[in-house]
Amino acid sequence: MLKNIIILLLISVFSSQLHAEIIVIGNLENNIPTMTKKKVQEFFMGRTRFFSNGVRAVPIDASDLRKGFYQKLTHRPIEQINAYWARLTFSGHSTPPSKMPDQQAVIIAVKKGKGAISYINRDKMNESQVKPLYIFE
Amino acid sequence: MKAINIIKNTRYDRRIKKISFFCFTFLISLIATVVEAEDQYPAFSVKGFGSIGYTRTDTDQIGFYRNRTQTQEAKKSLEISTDSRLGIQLDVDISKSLQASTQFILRDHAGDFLEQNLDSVYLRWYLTEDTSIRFGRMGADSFLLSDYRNVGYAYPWMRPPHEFYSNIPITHYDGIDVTKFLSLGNDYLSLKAFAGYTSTNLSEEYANLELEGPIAGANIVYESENWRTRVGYTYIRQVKEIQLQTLRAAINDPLTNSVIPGISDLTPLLSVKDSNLHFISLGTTYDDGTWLVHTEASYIDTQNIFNPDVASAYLSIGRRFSTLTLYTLYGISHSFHKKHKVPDVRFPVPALIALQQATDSAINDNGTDEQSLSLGLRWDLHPKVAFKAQWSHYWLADDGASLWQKPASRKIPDNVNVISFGFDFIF
Repeated sequence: MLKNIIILLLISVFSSQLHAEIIVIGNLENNIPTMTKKKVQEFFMGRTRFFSNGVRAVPIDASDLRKGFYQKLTHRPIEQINAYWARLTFSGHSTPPSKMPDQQAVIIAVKKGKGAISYINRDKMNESQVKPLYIFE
Repeated sequence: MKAINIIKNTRYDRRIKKISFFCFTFLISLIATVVEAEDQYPAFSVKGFGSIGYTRTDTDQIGFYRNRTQTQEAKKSLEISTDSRLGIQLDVDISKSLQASTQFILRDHAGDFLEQNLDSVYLRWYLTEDTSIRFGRMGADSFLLSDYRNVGYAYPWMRPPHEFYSNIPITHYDGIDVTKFLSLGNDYLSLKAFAGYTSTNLSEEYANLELEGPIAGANIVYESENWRTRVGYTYIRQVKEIQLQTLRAAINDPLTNSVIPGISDLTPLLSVKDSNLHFISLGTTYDDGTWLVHTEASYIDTQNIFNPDVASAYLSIGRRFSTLTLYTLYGISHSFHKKHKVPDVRFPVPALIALQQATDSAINDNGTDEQSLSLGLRWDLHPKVAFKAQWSHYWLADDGASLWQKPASRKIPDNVNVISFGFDFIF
C-alpha cells in the first residue's frame, strides 16, 4: 500500500514537471503584446536585450522550474543550456538570466520590475499580479 | 596606444603601466555608476569556471604542453597543471547601457602571474540595442574557440584541438572593440572589429618570447538554429625581440666567423622583431542536441623563422547519449619552413660544435608537422559538473615538434600517446 502511494506521488510529481503548462509572464505596466516562442527564446538565450517598446528586458529564471522551461523552449537538457551560457558568459558575449529560488519569488520580482520577464506554472498564475506573454502547451 | 608604447623598458614599468590602465577603466566605471545609478543598478554578479585535469604521456623523451604559454610539461608521470585552471569573473551592470567585467584565471602561464592571468577587465557600452563598444582588456578571439578556450565546461574535449590552439596563443589584448549584432529572421549575424596592443609571454622552451605589439582584426559570425560559422582575420606586429642575444652576439663575432666561416650571415635570421603576423581562419560548429560537429581551418603568415607560416585544421564529431557524449577528433598542423644550412666548423673544438648546433637548433627546429587522432568521452554527471576522459595519439615528423618541449638531443619520437581525464565545472 505504502509502495503504491509512493509510486503515485512520484508519478504525479514527474508528470506535473513534464506536462504542466508553463506560462511566460511580464510586468502589468509593461505595455507589450503577447509574444511568439521565438521571441521568448531571444530573451532567454541572450539574443536581445530590449522589448519592442524600448524597455530593457530583465529575464529571470525560476530555479524550481528551470529544467522544464528550457526543455520546452529549446528541446535540450539543462546541461546543454548551461554549457551554452558558459560559452557566452565567460567569453564576454552575454549575461545569463538572473536566478530566483522559486516561482513565488519570481512573481514578486516580475511585479516589481517593469522589464522583468520570467515563467511560472499555470496553477500559480494570477492575472491581477502579472501579465501572461506566452503559454507553452 | 602610442602612450602605452612609450614606457616599456622594464617589466616593473610595464606592470605599473597596465595597472594604471585598468585603474582608469574602473574609475570610468565608478563615475558612471554614480551618474547613472537607478533602482536596480549597479547589479553585481560573481561567476566562475574551472577544470581539474590529470594528463600523462607514454614517453619521457618529449614534453606535452597544452599551449606554448605553459611552463610545466606533461611526460610519463601524471601532471595536474596541464589541464587544470580556475577562473573567476565579476560582472557589474552599471546602467541600462553600461557594463563592466573582470576575469582572472589561475593557471600555469609564463610571465608575470598577475598581469598575464588577468584575462579581461573592460567596460562595455551599448551604443544602441544591437551595437556595443568595449574598452579595456579583452580576451583575444582569433579563432572559433579562442575567447572561451579556458572554459572546459563549454566544449566536449579535454582541451581545444592542440594543432590549432597551442601555436601562437594570444590570450588577450588591451584596446577597443566594436560589435554589431543583427537579427535576420531566424538567423543572426555578428560583426566585430577590434584594435589594441597585446602582450603574451611564452615559456622558456620558446626562449621566453613575448608576443607583443599592436593587434587588429575583424570577424563575422553567422548563427542559424544549429549552426555557428565564423570567419576571422587578425593582424599582429611583433615589436619585441626574441631573447637570444647571447647566441646572436656569438655568431655575429668576427672571431666566430673565422672558425665557422659564413655563420655570421645567419644573424638576421635570429630575429622576430618587426615581423608581421597575419591569421586567417574559417570555422563552423553544428549542434542539434544529439550530434556535435566542430571543424576549423586556418593559415598563419608570419615572416619569421621562429613561428614559420603554418596551416592547421581539425574535425571533431560527437554523439550524445543522454548525459554521455562520445567524440572523436582529428587535427593536423603543417608549417612551411625552409631549412637553413649552418656552416661546418673549421676545427672540431667542442665549444664550436656546441655553438654550431645551438645555431642550427634555433634556426631549424621551429617547424610544426603534427597530426593527432583522439577518442574521448564527456559525462555530464551534474548540471554544472562534467567528467571527461581522452586518449590522443600524436604523429610527429622529424622537424615538426615545435609545439612540444623538445629533448636536448633534438631526437623526437614518431608517436606519442597522451592520456588525460578530469572534471570541468562552473559555479
